Amino acid sequence: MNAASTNPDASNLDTFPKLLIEHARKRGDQPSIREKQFGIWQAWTWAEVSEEIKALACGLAAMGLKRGDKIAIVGDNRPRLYWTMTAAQAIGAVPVPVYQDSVAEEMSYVIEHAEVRFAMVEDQEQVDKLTEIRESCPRLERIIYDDKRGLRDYTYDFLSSFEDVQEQGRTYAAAHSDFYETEIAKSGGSDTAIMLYTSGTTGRPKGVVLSFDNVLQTAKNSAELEGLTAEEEVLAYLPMAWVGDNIFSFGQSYAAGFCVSCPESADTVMHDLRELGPSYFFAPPRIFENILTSVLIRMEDASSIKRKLFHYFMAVAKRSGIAILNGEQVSLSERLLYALGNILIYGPLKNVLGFSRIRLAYTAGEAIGPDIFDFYRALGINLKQLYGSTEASVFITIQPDGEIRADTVGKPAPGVEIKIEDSGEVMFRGPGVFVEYYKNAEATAETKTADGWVHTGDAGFFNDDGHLKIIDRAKDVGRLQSGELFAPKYIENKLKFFPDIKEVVAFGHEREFCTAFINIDLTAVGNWAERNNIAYASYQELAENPDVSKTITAHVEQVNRDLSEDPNLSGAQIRRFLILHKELDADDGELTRTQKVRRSFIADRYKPLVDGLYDGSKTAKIETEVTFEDGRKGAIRADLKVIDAQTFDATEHLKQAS
Amino acid sequence: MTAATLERSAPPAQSEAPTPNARRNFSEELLKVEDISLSFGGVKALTNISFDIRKHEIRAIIGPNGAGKSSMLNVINGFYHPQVGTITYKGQARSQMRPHEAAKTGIARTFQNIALFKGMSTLDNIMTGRLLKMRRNFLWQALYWGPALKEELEHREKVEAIIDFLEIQAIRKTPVGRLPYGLQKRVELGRALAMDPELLLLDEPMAGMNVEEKEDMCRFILDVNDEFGTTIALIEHDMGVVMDISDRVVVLDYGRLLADGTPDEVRANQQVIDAYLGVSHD
Repeated sequence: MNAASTNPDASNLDTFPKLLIEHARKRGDQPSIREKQFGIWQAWTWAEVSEEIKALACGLAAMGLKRGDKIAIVGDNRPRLYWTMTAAQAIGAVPVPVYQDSVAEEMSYVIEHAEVRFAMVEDQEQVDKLTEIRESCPRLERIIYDDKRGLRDYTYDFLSSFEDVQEQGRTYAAAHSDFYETEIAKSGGSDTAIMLYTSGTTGRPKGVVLSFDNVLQTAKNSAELEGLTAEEEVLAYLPMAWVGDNIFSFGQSYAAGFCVSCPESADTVMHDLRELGPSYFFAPPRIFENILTSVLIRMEDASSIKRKLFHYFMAVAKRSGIAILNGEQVSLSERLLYALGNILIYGPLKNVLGFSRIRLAYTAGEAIGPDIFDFYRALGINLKQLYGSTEASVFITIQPDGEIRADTVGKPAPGVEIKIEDSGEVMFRGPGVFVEYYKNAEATAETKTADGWVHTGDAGFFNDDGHLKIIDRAKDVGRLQSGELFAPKYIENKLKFFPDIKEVVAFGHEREFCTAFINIDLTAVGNWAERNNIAYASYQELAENPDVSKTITAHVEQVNRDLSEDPNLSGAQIRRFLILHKELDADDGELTRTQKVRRSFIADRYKPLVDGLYDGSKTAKIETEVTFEDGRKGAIRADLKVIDAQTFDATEHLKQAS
Repeated sequence: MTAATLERSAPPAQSEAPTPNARRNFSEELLKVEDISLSFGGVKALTNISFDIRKHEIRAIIGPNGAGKSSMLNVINGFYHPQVGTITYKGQARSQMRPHEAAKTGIARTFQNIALFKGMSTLDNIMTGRLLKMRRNFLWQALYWGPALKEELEHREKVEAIIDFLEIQAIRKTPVGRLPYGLQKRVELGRALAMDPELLLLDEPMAGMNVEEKEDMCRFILDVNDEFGTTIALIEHDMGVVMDISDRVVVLDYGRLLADGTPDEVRANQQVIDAYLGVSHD
């Protein structure tokens, strides 16, 4: 039931404001967006949203926001911020969502580069940040805030409240009766819908310009492929500045007409998820990993009978649950056992996690550990991987139902063509391909060829049944001095599956052998320490604990054993590693805002440690600058132990096997 | 502690903003204590203390250990009864306050050692703050129907607004005994706020907190003062915090009043400096 496809004038509904009017007409009394406030889910119908957005759009116009102007959107997922997107689009302005937790310097770059004139922000915190930024970005004329708390004494004349803007909008609309409709009609599918800044694993963020056709076509195609209807329940909790949120919580909602719910606060997401019971859910692997880790930790604390039941039925689920979900043949006794498990374990567990009603779940962004992936599928959750990028409006490949594998990312999405370059790099072409990088023709030309093919920067290949498999970033795949293949991401992901390990950075390109930095997971290891009466005051102290080193060494050796089984990768076993004295942190620039490791930056910053790993010494000294949560800086000094891990020969493994 | 996060309603760009006192006009007296003396047997806890608290201000009471700060708060809300002196609250003078009178007339407080119901949820703890405002008797409440239900909903609405205000939605249903110390302090503030107080007494709201928790707490105290217009009297040891957020400061030492004035005046007062840093006797 696609709203647009069943309408005779579907071809005219080529922008979100046009779709909004259509939804208000067709399903005016159905909920469009919800937010939990004061402990209750408050809903707005499509008709109400349409009125709110009209008032807002007219207000923005009355305050001087013109066609082609940019309006920054900064804050958590809130209905009013989503409305701002459509309102801006209605009058031809371009929304530019910005990561709300980025530090002032990063934010200032985006605001300056995008030539932002207006900003819609969530609360006082963001008002303060933008007021500071405004000094270096004179183009930023007006700041509008949603939540007025704490702002009563602010007398700046460039500040307006959301209500003020809407009030002006209502007056303006009354005086210019057909202004809103005329403005909406002026935009078409090829106009710019949104500008999204990529998180920038390398260099400055780039502003990806997406047209209405890009976003809407992709949203419609994917909604059709997965059979999304107006009945879906979706929780919008991922950063609005991320393309995924724009498709899953905005684009597809408009394409299929379903209701999107915003959590009460960032801390309550898990709880809200459970209350809402979404039918369609997206999360990066990290979140699935965190959920699994917390389940396993809580099971450790459960009584022994519960723990035994859990482990017994999880083994049943792993054996036959995935096969049942894939529609393969499973014996009757196994099916009965699985059904019993569903009553005793899987059902209640899914309920606690908020996955009871889930029909479709996606993960993407990074490779997911096969065991994590299998855990959810075994529970009967249709978790699929997809492969995408901002430049593609998300979808490049999707795993079709019944063809789910942990180690591939699926087949090309509807309308998308894929080819593999000689260098191994994956390239794609399709309806979602971005228009350009804003004010950066050089980067556009580097990424997008004249006939529309886009470089992904990822290395991969198609396997025999037509599924794409991504190994690593094309530029990251390296070789050891001996010429053997070194795929750092592959090794890191293998290690990160262990709940004790949070982050890994592997080194080895043009080196004699492979080494790694490891971050322990404070939740998992801390829980272990608590149960074993081990006192620790900080992350650093826990990381230095000899028992922790021993456990981590065992994990590394397990990975080495696995690697030795694969003839292509057996050379890249980890010979030496160390446990870092601090957690890698986006505030220190070590991770991107989407929590990806910035390898070269880390190699640079911790050069003495890397040297220590390769010069045979037993310890390595380091002094690093850290940024505390209140913005102050300090230094951490540490003497880290370098640990040697056992490696395995491919032959030795064979011997063992025989 | 960064000035930008703590300085009263001064956004970063406005560093030359006038001091709170100059911008805000506190003329109306809310509470006045005159010549208060309190002793326990032979121990004189307070001697001839007089000062006032004006409407809408943040008033700090500071002093070294054992100076009589907590005793002073206990006198104000009626836990202790001074032997000498009068307390004038909202124009009504009395020689001693009684705790239930204090509560009924709009004085709420938090304690140095958290005094919450550990086994009850955050929501229920804050709900207890509404108890004095409930009109229906327990039979009605047990029925949970009609007027009692309506009343419960009204109170719940108020409590939810406080939960939203203090940003503790995520722990709404968590038993407070399981919460970290900083959050428990916040819940206690929530319970005091649930009484719709005119005068809020905070006994060391930031004791034992880390820098981040202190900053949050400061923000909440300032916001309470701003949004609800609540008058606040607080005892605090962290000088940085006191000087940043209060409008006027009373300094006590050995039960005597040492100084009374704006943070700047108090900071410059030689007696205060001596009391805090010690004096050399040579």
